[in-house]
Amino acid sequence: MMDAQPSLPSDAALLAAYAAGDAAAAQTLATRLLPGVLGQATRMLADRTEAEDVAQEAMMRLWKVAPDWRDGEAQISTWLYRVVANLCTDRLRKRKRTAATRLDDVAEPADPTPGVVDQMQTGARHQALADALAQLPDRQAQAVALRHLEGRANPEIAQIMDISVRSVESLTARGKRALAALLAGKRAALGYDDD
Amino acid sequence: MTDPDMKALDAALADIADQHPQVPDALMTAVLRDAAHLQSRAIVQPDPVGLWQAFLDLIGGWPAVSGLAAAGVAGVWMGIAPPVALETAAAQMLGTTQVVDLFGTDTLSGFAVEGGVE
Repeated sequence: MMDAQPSLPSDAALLAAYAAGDAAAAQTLATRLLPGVLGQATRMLADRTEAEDVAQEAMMRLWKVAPDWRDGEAQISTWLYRVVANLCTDRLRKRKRTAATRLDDVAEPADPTPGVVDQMQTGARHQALADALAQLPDRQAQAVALRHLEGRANPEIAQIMDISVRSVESLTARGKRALAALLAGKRAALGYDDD
Repeated sequence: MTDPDMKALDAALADIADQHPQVPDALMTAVLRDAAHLQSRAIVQPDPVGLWQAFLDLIGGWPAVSGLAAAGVAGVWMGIAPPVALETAAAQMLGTTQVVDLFGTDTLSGFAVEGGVE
């Protein structure tokens, strides 16, 4: 989501320029990185307000780490994936107590208008999934989200989570099975009644 | 958990993965405001390295300076008032010592002493 084009300055170069006092570098970096950060948070949390809070916090951490950033040690995009995933699982953990109730609440859309139904179903599906993610252990939730919502490859997830590829495979497999079990019988909530 | 459950999950995951929200102007403004606020603290200040700092770095910093100073003071002190044990040890190692006045001068005043060389 955050790969720089070859002719453009790298994320690390921009961050170094920001740390050296270049105000324009912050704008370029934010324009390049913020959409991906917000997207990851939104997909994981299914809550726009919370996702925006997480995105702002993640970028705040990037500005803070700028003077100490060592180019070559890690990709900024990898670091950001990790920060956003951690911030999101913190928030999902807080939802655990209410998630079960919410899953029952979103079962049926009330308005029969087709467009509204679609919209509500999309929202309800997303909410149901986020609530189910909240029930998983943090590492499983992060691995599943990075693999199936962000589309990251296992070696990249291993880097992001600082674990082995084998562990990623195990976490995603167990996480997805747990997610399916949590959502078993909730196909209405997911908006897929028939097969 | 059944196969249809897994299919429904896969479909839901794929739908959500396709969502790419636009960044609201207010969020971008807030992020850039944070960046500007933190930038003054984030600016890297190059360390001024003067000659004294370079010398300190060369010898190992302030601990090395204090060691050198202590050794110097101890050396001066032992030269002025050598401990008896040191004289004894020196005599044992080097044999008895004898002071020979080669020039017959009063080394303190710089004048020739009586019977010496003028």
